[in-house]
Amino acid sequence: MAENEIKDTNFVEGHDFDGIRELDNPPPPWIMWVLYLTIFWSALYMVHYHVFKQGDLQEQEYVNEVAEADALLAQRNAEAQKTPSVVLKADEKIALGKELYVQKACSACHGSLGEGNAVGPNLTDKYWLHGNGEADIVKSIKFGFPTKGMIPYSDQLSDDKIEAIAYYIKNELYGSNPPNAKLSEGEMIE
Amino acid sequence: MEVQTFYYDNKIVKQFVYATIFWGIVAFIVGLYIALELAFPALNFGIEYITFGRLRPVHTNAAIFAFVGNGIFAGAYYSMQRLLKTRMYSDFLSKINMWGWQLIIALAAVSLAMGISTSKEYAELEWPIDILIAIVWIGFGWNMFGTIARRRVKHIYVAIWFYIASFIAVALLHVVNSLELPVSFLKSYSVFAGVQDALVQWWYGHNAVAFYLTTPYLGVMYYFLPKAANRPVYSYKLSIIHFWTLIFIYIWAGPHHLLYNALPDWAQSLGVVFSIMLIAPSWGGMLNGLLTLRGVWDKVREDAILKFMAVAVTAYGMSTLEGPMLSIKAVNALGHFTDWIIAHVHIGALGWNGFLTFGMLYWLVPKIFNTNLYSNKLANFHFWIGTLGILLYAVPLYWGAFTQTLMWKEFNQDGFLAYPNFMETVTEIIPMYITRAVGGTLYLVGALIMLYNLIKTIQVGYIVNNEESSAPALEKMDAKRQSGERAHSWLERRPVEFYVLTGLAVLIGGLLEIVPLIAIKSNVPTIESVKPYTPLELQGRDVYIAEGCNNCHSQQVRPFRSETERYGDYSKSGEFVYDHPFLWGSRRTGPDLARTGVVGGKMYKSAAWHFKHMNQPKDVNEESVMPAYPWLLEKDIDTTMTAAKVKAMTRLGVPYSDEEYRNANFNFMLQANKIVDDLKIAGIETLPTKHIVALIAYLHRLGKDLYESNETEIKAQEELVIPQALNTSQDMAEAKEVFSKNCAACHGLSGEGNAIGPNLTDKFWLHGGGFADVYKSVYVGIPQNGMLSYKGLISDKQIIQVSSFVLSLQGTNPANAKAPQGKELTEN
Repeated sequence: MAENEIKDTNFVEGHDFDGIRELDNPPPPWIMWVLYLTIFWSALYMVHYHVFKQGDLQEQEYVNEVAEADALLAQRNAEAQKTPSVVLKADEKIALGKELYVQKACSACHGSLGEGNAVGPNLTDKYWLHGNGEADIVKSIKFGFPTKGMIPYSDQLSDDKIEAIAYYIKNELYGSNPPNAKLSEGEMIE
Repeated sequence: MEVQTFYYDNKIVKQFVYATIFWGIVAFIVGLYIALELAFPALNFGIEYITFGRLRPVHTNAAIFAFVGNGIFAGAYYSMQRLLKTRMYSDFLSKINMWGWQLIIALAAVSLAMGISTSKEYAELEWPIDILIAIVWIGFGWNMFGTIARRRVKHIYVAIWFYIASFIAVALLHVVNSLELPVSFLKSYSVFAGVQDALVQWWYGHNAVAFYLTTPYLGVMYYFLPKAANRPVYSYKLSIIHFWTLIFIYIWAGPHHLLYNALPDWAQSLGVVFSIMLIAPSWGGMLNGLLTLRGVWDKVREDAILKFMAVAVTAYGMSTLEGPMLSIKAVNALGHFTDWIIAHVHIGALGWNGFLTFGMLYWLVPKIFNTNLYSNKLANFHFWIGTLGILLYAVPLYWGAFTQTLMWKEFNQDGFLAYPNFMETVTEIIPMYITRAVGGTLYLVGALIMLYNLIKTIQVGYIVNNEESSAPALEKMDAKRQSGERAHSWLERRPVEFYVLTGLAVLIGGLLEIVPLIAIKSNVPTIESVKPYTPLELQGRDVYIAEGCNNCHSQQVRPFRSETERYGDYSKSGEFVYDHPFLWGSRRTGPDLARTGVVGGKMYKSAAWHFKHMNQPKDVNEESVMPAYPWLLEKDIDTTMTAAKVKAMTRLGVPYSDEEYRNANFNFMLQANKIVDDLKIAGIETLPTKHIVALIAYLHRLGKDLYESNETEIKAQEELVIPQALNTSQDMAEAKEVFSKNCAACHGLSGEGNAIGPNLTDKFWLHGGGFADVYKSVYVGIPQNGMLSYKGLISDKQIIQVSSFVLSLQGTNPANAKAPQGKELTEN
């Protein structure tokens, strides 16, 4: 204790509050610099954005972000065009469709085996509300039935992925007779 | 000079100490419970009173107003008497303060659990309790001012400056933010709406942190830390500078809670810069505390009290640097709506407030009970387990927050959200929630050890309820500044002038932000299509408020592509003009709900979906951590209040017609029956007066007003059946004719496109290039871009033919082809 004891002499005169005394030290200079610099920075910030109106505020930032993304996507598509596209074999298409069926939580409304549940219809029987051609199923997935709770997937999945899901539904789930199948809805399609 | 004898009131201090410990432990237990509920929703047990939405405000209110609140009173009542050398001004006011506050807390706990809430964060209590708070708080201030007036010390010490600022600012904040119009004894609506309500709320919310969790505790620090360390305060000048800059700047910083929200840019920018300017004033407090410990660091190693205080002050410094960092817009874009904010406030709450309280209690209890602490060892153990608890609480939450915010923002190769299913981003951070709860448990165990230690201490000690002391009477002072007397020194002996200056300092920022936002119309551009809620939706909105949905769901889509892709268009200030109160929320434990009413939008769910989801979320989403709300299916809306609610809204300026007021319940039933019919089609039986029906109506209204015209188009699209293409040469010939008559004007005779319509011959498509897409574009049209729906204009067969024809144009490379637009169609 003794060696690092500090001898204080510069007390503030007349300040003794229940035994607490105060020293007349100046504030550490660096903290004052932080204060001045942040005030200076703040003035610059306000002038930059709101007096000279330089710098993008949130709406413009958003416009830029969207434009950037669109440009990037267009470029990516152009590149993809140069490489020959892979044509999936049937079993690959089914595997991809199945994977996406799980990943996109189709099962939440149609059951993990396509048997349907309280929310969505059975996908395995012959009765269809919106047609059972592959094109119909693609359309149902792509555009959805928003008022019935089926959301459009066109903004989550590319066309080839939607086709893979439709292919999986048509060629794997359809006609599979899973347990707990939901009662039929819609028109019978042979 | 005559020496006067007087008696300190220790009994009131003791009572506040007991209350602090009791409510502290309650707050920690409730906090731990709701932390566990997030990880294990089964803990809700299907009981409506203990859902996360109901208990979260119980936890925050208990921590802030009960634990820290009583801590403030304990510290202030003890230190003020000694710093001013007098007993508290009025024992009666002290008692009112003590018992009134405990009554408020008890009423708060019960009413919040029952779902009686205004929804405004840390101001959830309903109007009768608000009035009670104002009365008791003013009683505290009166008692303090009276004590200051009767002091026997010439100057007012810095601790008391902070108590004064806290009292004045909190009184102002509480009164303005609680301006509400009662509908019934237990229900009121905020007089402010939408953006304005949001700004007032966060002016309050942020400064509840400033003037409730910070400044009074700086006062506590300025007394108890030098006392416990037996050291002089490092710098009187620093005290002066950081006090005035802190209270003046703090009040402006509220808008940083609304960055990238639908708040005017100028207000957001003020929030940013004033937060940055807060770094130095806040750190001034930390430095003065830490530098006061200069020369006693060897003591800190052994003494639990000093350890608690040193860590408290350090935690204060950390969170007051982190706060400004989070106020930089780019950082806020990541942190807002995530657990980062929860971690940040808990560094402050557990570290600064909690540890400073513990340090104060370990020092204060032996003092007023005239004995030594029962066990220093246990106190040291409390320190270590508490510190470990804070680390285990905060580190996983930071980790989880970064993980989640990056998942929210990630796009995949195809340009779609990498995690479009919100649930994935929640499931990912559940392990962090569990670790966080372990941290909370350790912190609670520490507090229980303290309880034991203090009980043991109290058992061997004795308290002198009225402790004798003496001091010379205060000599008459000249009101004028004496020669050689410094201005601030003069101010320190002139309490009234001090109050006025402090009042001005805390008034300016609020006035300059709130008044222009309310007074200048252009700050909230009007949107014509935005209409008031229907009576049913209004009732549903109150269900939403009562259940505290806003504690987990935001209603504010920020202008980021990652949010507009997930939720729909970003929120505009004009959409909220009838929202008394606003319900933007501050944390997305669940997804944003601002656009759940937009049919065909990304967040729209059917009535049946909502019904099943509320009854048991796991039925529609196995991993959901949302509690089940089966009582919404059972409970009836109090329809006797419908008209009164419409009336109250009218008085707040919402333009309901007299007819709408008189037919409130008629319209209520009309709309409710439609939803009941809709549910019936999905095989669900319910009654129009059930809570669930009103809530569905509300959710189906949210964010919809901008898109009214869309619905018919979407219905048409849903009914669309894609036919087979017609590709014979006969068809092509017929189609060509139809094309030249109907389509060539905008797409060119050869489909090459022109100034109006896009090129149809290249591989780039704005609305998809499959047969189904083209058919849909022709059949339904793209009205917003000028493309008509051709249904009825040409025959159905012609639509099929022309769609087929358009596809046959692919790759024909006509002259004058327009530059590509839209996404390229890849072959597969």
